[in-house]
Amino acid sequence: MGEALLLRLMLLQEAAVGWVDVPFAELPQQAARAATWIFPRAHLHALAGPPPSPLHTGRMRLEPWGLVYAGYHPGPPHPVLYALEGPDLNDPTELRLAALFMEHFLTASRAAGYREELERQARTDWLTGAGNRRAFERALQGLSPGWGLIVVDVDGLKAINDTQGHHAGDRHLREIARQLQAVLLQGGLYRVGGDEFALLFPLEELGLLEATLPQLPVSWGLARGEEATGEALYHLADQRMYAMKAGRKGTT
Amino acid sequence: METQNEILQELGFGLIPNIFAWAEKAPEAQTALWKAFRHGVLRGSLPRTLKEMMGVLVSQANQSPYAAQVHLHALMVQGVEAPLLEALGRGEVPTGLSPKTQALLHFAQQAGANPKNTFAVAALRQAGLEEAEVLEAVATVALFRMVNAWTDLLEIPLDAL
Repeated sequence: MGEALLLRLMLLQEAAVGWVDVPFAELPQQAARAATWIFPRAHLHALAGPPPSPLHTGRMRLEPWGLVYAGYHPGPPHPVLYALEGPDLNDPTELRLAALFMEHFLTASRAAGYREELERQARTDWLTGAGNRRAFERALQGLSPGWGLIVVDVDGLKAINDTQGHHAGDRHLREIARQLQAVLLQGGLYRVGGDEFALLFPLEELGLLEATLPQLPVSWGLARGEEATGEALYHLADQRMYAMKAGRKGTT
Repeated sequence: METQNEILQELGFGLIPNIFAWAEKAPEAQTALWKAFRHGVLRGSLPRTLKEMMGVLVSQANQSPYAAQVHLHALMVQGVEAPLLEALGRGEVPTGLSPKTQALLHFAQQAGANPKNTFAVAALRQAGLEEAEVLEAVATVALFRMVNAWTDLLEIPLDAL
């Protein structure tokens, strides 16, 4: 294999450059495939279970059968352990190549994990877990034909905040969001204002929504995708929601 | 124009190689050639470097100089060892490679010369390639045979390398 060291370095470089924009969940599989071309007798895999001994993220341990690295993973309390099993680590060239491969893989994995977490936070409402206003506007622009929009305004939130405190108001909002989310199948739920949600959904789901919404303490307005697009569609649903709200106030 | 912009941006050579430039008066053919190359060589599961090596062997098997010379040059400037380049230039599978890489290059050499050689496909599976990699390997050979026909029939000259 000595003759082909530069070729193997090229394959490693090509793989590492390609990992820059690979989604976090797909990286281990892509890296495992790349490893088969760079290391003839080695394979990359994740080790199950918590670390057998303390191993901090980014640290390496040499085992008789291969290299073990602790990798970044968003979520679980322990870092995931990745092992490159099989290279001849008594050969300094193989050891260096294996370490280089694993360092690149774990760097890409950590970057992808942070990137996806930041992207998730950038489009999620922290209180309810629904999409935020920015995510809503993006989804609204790309709305497919045959979809609809419902704007939902939570009734009486101010009164709850004033009489029971803001924690109670937050709990109320989370509960409404949970119930709305439970009804949606393909559709998306977004919190677009303090007490306002928007639902984007395929119109086949409208029946279920129309059966559920009257059971919740909310006012709502529907606009179908064929009536308008983008901001105009949002405005239409919003107007209808306010009409319902005004009608309710008029009857109480 | 869109195809030409893609070629300029994604190859990053600052010019449109003759293989694509020769199709300028037939934009659909140009797009077809470019997309085949882009998705067949630049993208996919198999490393691009190995697909370029396959391209050299397929082209040598067909005595087609354009793709052979272009990809030998590309491999050289990327830093592949001289003995490997010399073997590829002779249309031979270099020694000193991993068994899987050797299997892939033997496949290119054999199927490039004889595209009815189904045993060559079976050998890829025996060498441990995943099914997606096997299919890409077949597509790579088919792609370079098409490129060979295109460059030979039109006598497309080598780019100024």
